[in-house]
Amino acid sequence: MDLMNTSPSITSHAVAAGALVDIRAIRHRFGTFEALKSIDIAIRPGEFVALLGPSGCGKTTLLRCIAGLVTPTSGEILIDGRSITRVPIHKRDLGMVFQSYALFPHMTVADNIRFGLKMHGVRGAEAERRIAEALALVQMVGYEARYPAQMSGGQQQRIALARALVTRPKALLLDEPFGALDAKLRESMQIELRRLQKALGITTIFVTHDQQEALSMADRVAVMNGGRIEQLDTPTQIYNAPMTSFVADFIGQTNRFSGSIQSKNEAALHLRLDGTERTIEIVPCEGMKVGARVTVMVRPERVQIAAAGMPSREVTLTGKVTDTVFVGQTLNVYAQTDVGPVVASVSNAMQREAKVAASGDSVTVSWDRDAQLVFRDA
Amino acid sequence: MADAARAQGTGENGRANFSALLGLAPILLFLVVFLVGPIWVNLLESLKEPGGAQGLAQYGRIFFDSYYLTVIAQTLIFGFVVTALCILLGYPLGFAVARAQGTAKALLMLVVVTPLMVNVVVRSFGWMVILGGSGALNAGLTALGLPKLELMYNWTGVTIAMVHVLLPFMVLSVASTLEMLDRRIEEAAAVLGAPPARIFWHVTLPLSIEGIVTGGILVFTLAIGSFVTVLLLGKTSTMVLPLLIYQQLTTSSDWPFAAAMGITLLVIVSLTLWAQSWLHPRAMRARR
Amino acid sequence: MKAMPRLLVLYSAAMSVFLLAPVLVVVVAAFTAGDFIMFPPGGFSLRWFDHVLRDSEFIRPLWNSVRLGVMATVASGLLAIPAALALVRGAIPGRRWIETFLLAPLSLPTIILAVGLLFFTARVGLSSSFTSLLAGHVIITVPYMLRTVLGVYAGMNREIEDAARVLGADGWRTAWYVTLPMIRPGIVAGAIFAFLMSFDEVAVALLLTNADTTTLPVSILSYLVYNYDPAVAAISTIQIAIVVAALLILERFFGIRNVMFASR
Repeated sequence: MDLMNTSPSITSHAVAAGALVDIRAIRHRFGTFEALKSIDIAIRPGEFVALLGPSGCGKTTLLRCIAGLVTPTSGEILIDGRSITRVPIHKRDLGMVFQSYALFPHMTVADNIRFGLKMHGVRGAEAERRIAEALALVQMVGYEARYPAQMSGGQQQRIALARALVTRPKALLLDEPFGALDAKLRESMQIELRRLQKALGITTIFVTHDQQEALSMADRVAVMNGGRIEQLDTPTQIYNAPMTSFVADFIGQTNRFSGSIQSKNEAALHLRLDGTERTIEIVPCEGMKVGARVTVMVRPERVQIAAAGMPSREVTLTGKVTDTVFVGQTLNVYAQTDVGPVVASVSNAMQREAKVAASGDSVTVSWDRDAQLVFRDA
Repeated sequence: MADAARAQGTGENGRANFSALLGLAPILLFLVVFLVGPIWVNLLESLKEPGGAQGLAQYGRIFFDSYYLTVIAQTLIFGFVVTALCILLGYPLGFAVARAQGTAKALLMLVVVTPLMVNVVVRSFGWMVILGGSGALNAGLTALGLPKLELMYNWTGVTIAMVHVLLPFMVLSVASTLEMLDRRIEEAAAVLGAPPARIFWHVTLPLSIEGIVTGGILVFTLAIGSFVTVLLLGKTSTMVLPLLIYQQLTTSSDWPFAAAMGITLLVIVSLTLWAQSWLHPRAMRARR
Repeated sequence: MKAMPRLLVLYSAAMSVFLLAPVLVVVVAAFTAGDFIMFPPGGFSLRWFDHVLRDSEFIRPLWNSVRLGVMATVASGLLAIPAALALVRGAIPGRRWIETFLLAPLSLPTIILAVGLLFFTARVGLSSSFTSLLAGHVIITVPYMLRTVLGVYAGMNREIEDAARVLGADGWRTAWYVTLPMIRPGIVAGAIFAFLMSFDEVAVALLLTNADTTTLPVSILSYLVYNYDPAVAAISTIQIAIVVAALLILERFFGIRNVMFASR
């Protein structure tokens, strides 16, 4: 689909759709279980925000609160400045796509799409026009008379998307929409959705447990855990500057060490790692006292593996390679060091420049001090 | 997440849905008035003693009289025999229905369901025609030079007819349980070297116990509660409790006594159902 | 897919004969030319059909049974469908117990209900025989409707209704345009069971009907007490024909085979 030549109707669609979604102090409990523990997010018009987290973190509950399918125990949700917390589901003027597609099995594709229009009072020629437009948007023209059961998963999901967008909703909500698709199809749907979303300029909230999906599609990502938002930031910041150990652990791979502060001076804090006599230096931070417990994480791509005795980075460990695993783009090198197991990730390019260590080799494992992500243990 | 909430009984919104209660209200009300009400009135009626007092005299009349105790015993024995026959005859048929394919399956289903489409009075009438002194069966026997069989107005005829009436229920119960069985378990057993007979005995049969139990309980409660078939095909020596109740109501108009017998029957049925819920967990355990 | 053992096929054939025998015998007897039922039948004639169709002794009860069956089925639907929706969706505490209670009449011998209703209507002073008869029949049929609708609705994807709501349909419109069409197989199967159970019912009708409201099974039963002739066979054959025709029509329109199987 060539978005450069989109019809004027799409761009006019874009003007109406960029709503501001404001979530304030939303709390929700089921019986004794607190699913959401005070959520605050302000989503800008036209923004694509991903709610990312493990199962049970509350992301779907939050999405359903926005849709109105769940009434939060307390808090407010505002769209374009108007509170919708008391507004019933069918009057909220939102669009939603579900993981199970949720197409009406007893209706044709055209009738499925027509449903929302009918509910909003759009009939006749105008309705037919918009149905055609919606199908063109998702490249499913010609499928009007088909039934959902006659289509593949990917096709059904596109129809679900068309159905959600045809009513020109204020915002688009998606609940793990690509979870049931295979990897290749998922990837192409992600790209398509993102392009469509940018062209329409519609505010979009996307729930997923797949970090790759969230990081590649979203303008901002909200990493959720146990009913709270751990961090709301751009994908790059989430990855490079995680604010809590959960975020650092959940996103990408890390090497993780725990210890307590042994001593300090102006230049650095000395952290004694659990179970060893070794200390490593970490960058000084405010309020860190001697004796404080700390977790340090290092991303595998920042870890350097060099032959024993070769020049290395600031923080060095000695060790032996236990395993190497080739995963296409990178080579993961597992080594047992004097402070425990460490994994380093060596890119394909680097592998070709120099011979990387093999199993059994004695190596120096090292990284720069500023590659360390330091988290105070609460 | 939402499922966990529903399990807690609070729903997605964290509290019970009041408009849902509106949907339940009419049926609950109806059942309370027209089901609980009559049973309650029945109970009250059964506690009436001659002379206007209240007490268990009516029950005394039942349980201290050997005739009535015999009738109760006959009813229960009748129930057990019919149930046993239905299980023995019905299981293979249920197995056949479950494992059949295509047109054969549709035809079998039709055959099993056909008796249900016909009035129980008519079905019993049909058996009268077959089993009677000058009925079809005896006509055939006579033509073959064989002696006539006395199958009417005794327990044999009644049992045959009752089994016929209730067999479809057993067959359907067994068939639906077998349909839900994962064939791969049997395939695994075959791969491990078990011959078909052993697969059936050690795998299929234990896993379909639930169907037998459910069907069996259903057949039993229906058998001890039925009276039309016995009325048409039996006579005073083949007395069962429901028929006795009917007689008390129509001929002697002894309402309190009939009520007491009704409650007795109700208690027997309730005990049977309670036994079912006790048997069920065991049936489930057999699956593992 | 192994073929079925020969023994089982033979057995099924034998059992099929057993199951169909009384029905076939009745249908054959209906065409007897003679005055009595005998085997072999004396000749082929339609005179008994003629006799029965003219005789209001059977036609009136047949009509009563049909009317009663339809009304009981409709009433059952009106009671059971909202209840099924509420039970599945409403997250009601004690839902298991309520369900057990509502399905209880399925296991209850109808004679108990009949006797109870007799006493009840006498006490409460319900003069209309048809009302109490209808009430009794609804009690008997409503669990069948509830069970099939519950089965179908519980298995439905809940997100489809959510989607309808978000698209702008309020509760009523969602039920009308989405929920009801989707549970239709359950409703139809339940309606069939309900009608057949009502049509077949003897105990309640026997105790609660008067001369005007007699149902077909009761009239056949009282006829059989004094008579034993092909008239019963004729009216029974007519009744069978009606039921078979109705089922064929329903199968054509709704494809009920699968649901009927699944619901037992």
